[in-house]
Amino acid sequence: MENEIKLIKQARKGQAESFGLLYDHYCPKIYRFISLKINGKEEAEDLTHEVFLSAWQNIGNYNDRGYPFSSWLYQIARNRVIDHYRTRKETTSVDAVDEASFRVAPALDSALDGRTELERIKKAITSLNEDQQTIIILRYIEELTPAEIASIFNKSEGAIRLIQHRSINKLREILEENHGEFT
Amino acid sequence: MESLLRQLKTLRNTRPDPRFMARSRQELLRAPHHGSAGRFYYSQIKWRFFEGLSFSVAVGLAALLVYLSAGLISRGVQTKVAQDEPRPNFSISLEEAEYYKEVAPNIFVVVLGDKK
Repeated sequence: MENEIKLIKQARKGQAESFGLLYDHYCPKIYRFISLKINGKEEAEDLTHEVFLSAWQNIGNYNDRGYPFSSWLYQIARNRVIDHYRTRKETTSVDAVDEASFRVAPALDSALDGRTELERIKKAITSLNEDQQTIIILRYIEELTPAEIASIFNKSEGAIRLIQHRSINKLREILEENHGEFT
Repeated sequence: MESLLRQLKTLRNTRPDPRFMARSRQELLRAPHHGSAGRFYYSQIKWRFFEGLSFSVAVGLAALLVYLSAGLISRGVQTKVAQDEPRPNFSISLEEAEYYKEVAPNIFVVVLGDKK
């Protein structure tokens, strides 16, 4: 982000509007990251708000180590999602949903096919372990570099690349088991 | 694999509700802020110092109060004892001394000295 360092310095001095500009730029990324890991739009919104609230209140603890501000935000978001799963259990079971409620008119089928496919991929992502989910999302969706991801995990780039390779293969296997389309 | 990677990229279209963003932003910027780490730690140290100082002052004042109270009470007790009790009179008449001479030879010697 342009002038990111300047905005961060101003935010640390208490200039709320500077933090607001950082929020405008990074909120969609953090929201996307969280919503791909948990179910529920409202829960994703709540957690996103909590991440930025924590960032605003603790921006004095942010150290610029040559990585974007987003790496720090992703770290907060990742920890917040882990805490979310520790304190709450998923109460909605897909198996409990009545399939008849999803029948739609044939004209809408093709439009929904794409969305259904994305939902299938999202579900496959959530069936990976936490590290694998995070790396898939950050590497292939948010397009962070392995070095940036390594700073979030406090691991080496080599370790990240290894997990990345295993994660994408695992994801492909899950999707092939369910559909056989991705080969 | 290429197809999977393309599908993953389309998930970038996931975006938050603009109304949520506006509401969240407004609430965030009204929230309290601690500023730089240095200022935050300074404010914590300052708060803890004054809190500790006020505690020490409170303990000192309480101790002083207890000391003064104990002093006042003991002085009052001494004054009362002095007022209530008459000054003891240790003088003994000669007649009593003669009597005591027979009963307590040692006391006779001490009180009257050598009268032989």
